[in-house]
Amino acid sequence: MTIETAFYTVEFWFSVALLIIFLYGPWQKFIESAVRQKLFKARDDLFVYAAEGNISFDSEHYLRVRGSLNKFIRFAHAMTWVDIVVGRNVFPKSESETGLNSLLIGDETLECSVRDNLNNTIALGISAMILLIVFRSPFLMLASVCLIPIMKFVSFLNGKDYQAKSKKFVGGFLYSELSHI
Amino acid sequence: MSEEDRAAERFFVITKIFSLIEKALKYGSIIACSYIGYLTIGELAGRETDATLALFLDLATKEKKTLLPWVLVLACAIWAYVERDLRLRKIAYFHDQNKKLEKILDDKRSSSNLTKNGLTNPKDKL
Repeated sequence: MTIETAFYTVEFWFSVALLIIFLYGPWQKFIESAVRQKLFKARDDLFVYAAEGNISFDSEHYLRVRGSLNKFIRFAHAMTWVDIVVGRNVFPKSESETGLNSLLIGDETLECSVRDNLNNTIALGISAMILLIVFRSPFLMLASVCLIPIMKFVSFLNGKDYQAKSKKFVGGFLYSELSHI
Repeated sequence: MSEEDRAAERFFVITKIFSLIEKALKYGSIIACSYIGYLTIGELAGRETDATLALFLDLATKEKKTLLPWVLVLACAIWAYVERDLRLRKIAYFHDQNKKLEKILDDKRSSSNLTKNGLTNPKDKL
């Protein structure tokens, strides 16, 4: 091995070590802040919506949606796919338990436009959390990078509906888990 | 101990095990990279006596193509750090004002319990 080869080998492995440090350090903080910003925006929009008189600040629905957004913001640093999967399987499910989603979607007492707005806010919050969970895990990120071309290729062979269905399937799992928080 | 407490205990143990595996992978990879680098230098020992750190540095500084990306990386890192610091100070600046204005309309306004500059509350760190 010549000194040049040794130099480039050391440089390569030094870069790999730096990449790992970056992915588990500043990258985590960046994703956390970016997702929190999205959630703060959703919370602010909800506040403005209530301030315009569309829904009362004391309404159970408003408090529950805002409370959920606050929980997402507060625990964004600790939320991983492991916590969600383990949490859903370990904690006992009470029969009276109603997810945030079912509370709003099925509630006929709310005006249609208000229900849509609250549902959109929840959907926005949950999609932000899905982004957080995927982008903070190097393995999930890598899996997404590998899966997207495969999904594109399969959708090309099977028609456009397939891509939408597979997206719905993957996102649907995390969506249903997060809507219970 | 109630069923919920037992579930919380199980949750804590399982997530801690996963967290430990993640930490082992992270630090293990860094140690592995350092070890491979060390072995590479060790490979030269006894065969090329001029394989010293000084020569490595000399090579790095002479070849501008090698040095340039590292200088750029360092400059970007410093810039990102300064930008982030500015953003955090700006958030802290607007925090009190926003809270005060929202309280006028909603006196029971709930909070996310983050710090003033929008960082995780130290009490919430697991």
